[in-house]
Amino acid sequence: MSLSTTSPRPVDILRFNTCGSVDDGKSTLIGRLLYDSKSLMEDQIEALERSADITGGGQINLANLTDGLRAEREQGITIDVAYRYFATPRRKFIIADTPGHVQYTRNMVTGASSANLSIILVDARLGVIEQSRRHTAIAALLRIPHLVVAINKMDLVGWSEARFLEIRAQFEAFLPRLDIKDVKFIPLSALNGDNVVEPSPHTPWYAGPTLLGHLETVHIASDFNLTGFRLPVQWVNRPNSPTDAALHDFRGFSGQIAGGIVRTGQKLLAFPAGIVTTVKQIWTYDGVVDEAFCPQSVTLVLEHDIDISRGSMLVALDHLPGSSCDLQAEVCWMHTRPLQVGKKYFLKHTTHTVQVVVTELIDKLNMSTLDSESAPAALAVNDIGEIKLRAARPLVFDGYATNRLTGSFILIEPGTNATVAAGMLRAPHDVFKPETADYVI
Amino acid sequence: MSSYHLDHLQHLETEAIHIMREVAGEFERPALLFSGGKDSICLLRLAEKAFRPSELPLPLLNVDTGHHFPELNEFRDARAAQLGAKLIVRTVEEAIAKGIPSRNSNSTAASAAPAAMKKRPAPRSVFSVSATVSANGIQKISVLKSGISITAVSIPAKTCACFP
Ligand SMILES: Nc1nc2c(ncn2[C@@H]2O[C@H](COP(=O)(O)OP(=O)(O)O)[C@@H](O)[C@H]2O)c(=O)[nH]1
Ligand SMILES: [Mg+2]
Repeated sequence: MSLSTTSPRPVDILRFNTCGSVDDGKSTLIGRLLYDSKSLMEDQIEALERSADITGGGQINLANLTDGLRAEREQGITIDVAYRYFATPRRKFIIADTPGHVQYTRNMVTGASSANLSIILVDARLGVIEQSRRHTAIAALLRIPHLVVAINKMDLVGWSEARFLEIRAQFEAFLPRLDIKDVKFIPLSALNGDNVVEPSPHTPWYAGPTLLGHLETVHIASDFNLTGFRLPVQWVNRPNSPTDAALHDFRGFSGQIAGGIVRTGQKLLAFPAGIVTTVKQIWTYDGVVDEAFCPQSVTLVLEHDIDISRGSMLVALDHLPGSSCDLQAEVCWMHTRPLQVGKKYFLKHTTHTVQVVVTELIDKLNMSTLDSESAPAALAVNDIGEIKLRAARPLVFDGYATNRLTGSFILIEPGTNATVAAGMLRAPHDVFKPETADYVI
Repeated sequence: MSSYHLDHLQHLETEAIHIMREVAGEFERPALLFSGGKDSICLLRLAEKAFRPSELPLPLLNVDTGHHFPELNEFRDARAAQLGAKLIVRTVEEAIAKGIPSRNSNSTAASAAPAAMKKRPAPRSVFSVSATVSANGIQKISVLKSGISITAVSIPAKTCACFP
């Protein structure tokens, strides 16, 4: 079977996140989705209704529902992202819900890094503000395939179609500068539920779907890459005293496939050793299989006894990755201490961590104009820019556009262990070049 | 396998295994919370899926509140023995007797424990892994790092290795 015939099937889970400024209505919207889709436990509904009688003059406070659940879960600690689940007969949903404090870029990147769709909330009274542009730019940078611009609080602008169109035009003025494939604009009131789950009687001029209707039907293809096998090794599986004597010499390399397909008998290149070996067995708890694919978690047994440990990468010979100390990447800077040339960090990429130094700041995105400014002096918190890095040891990687897993990294500040940036690698200049006959297939 | 597709539960499972292996690969003293209840039975099976044919690289840990049915504790012990896993059991009384100082509770295990237990600081560098199982299967799996700061990694939340 050839790879070109393997069209990815639609996935049955939709992962999305919500972004917006404080008070745009994120908590209310999530509460509304959970409440109207009947995804709440009875005791949660009772508690809500009780609090409505006491404080709300009979109206349920949906934001309390979302934030209350979060507070209950956090219990005085900081959780970067809380995941909420709900399901309708058509689909299962996972919302990455991030607390809306100041480090919103960090939260958004964390919440959106695996999202299929981002909802950008806009307060209809305020229209597009700088943060709307910033969130949209980050979504574009992370290559989130679908965007929904939820124009909220339409009840406060008299359900004005003109206002809706005006805000849509504000977005459309800058969207062409960003690489975004699919954007949908929906007028709604999270507070009253208009166009969230039920169509609104107040928007006869809007012919599109409700928010939930769109979430249920938007076509999400798997964004897992089935070309170019990659296995970042997480853990070496070596039984000390196996019950089965046949497993006495078992030595397997466990990991989650980050790209492509692997088959028994296939030749693989092991990094950083740079040695070719062959797949002897694909081991899973449920039995040995002949082939496995991204994103399955497997354990590979290889023909040769080569030096492989956590942080090594096994790759297919037909689609070689880049291997270089010189890296270029787009980064979202998340820390109050700015990024400057000459600073050193740890770069964590798949299961591998390496020391890097910042060698150049190429440009920075101006959030008002979405133009890029060359050679900025620094990247401040919430800035997006392009940088060059030099690593102490070569990194084996792909461009983020090719593979979201082997093309992304975080930067960690030595000493504090703070995560200071999320990065998306540019495609390597050259793929890894085999130097000796050993590498030839 | 002609179609490269994972269904909803297979997806959750592959990510749960990924997280368990990250915990085993990155941390010095991880532990898997195991009470013998349905949620932890599910987690234990996921741990087997992550680490077999090796021994589990992390001990099982249970906080015995004294309110469990004896059959549950028997099952807990039998299951650990059957899998050859190391089981650590601690009781609430031990914590009270030691007068362990109160501090903000910071693990999901604590929320299910009685008040005295809740005040007990979780040991540093212990990882707790918890799951919620319902009739539909696994709803949620979370890994909480207790002691210092907490990062919730829920399944199927792909807080992939790249954006922990
Ligand atoms: N009138 C009106 N108020 C809304 C709407 N959505 C949210 N709000 C109100 O806006 C305030 C902030 O909402 P919240 O959900 O907490 O915003 P967040 O900070 O983005 O989570 C609350 O008082 C909500 O009741 C809406 O559609 N219409
Ligand atoms: Mg809120």
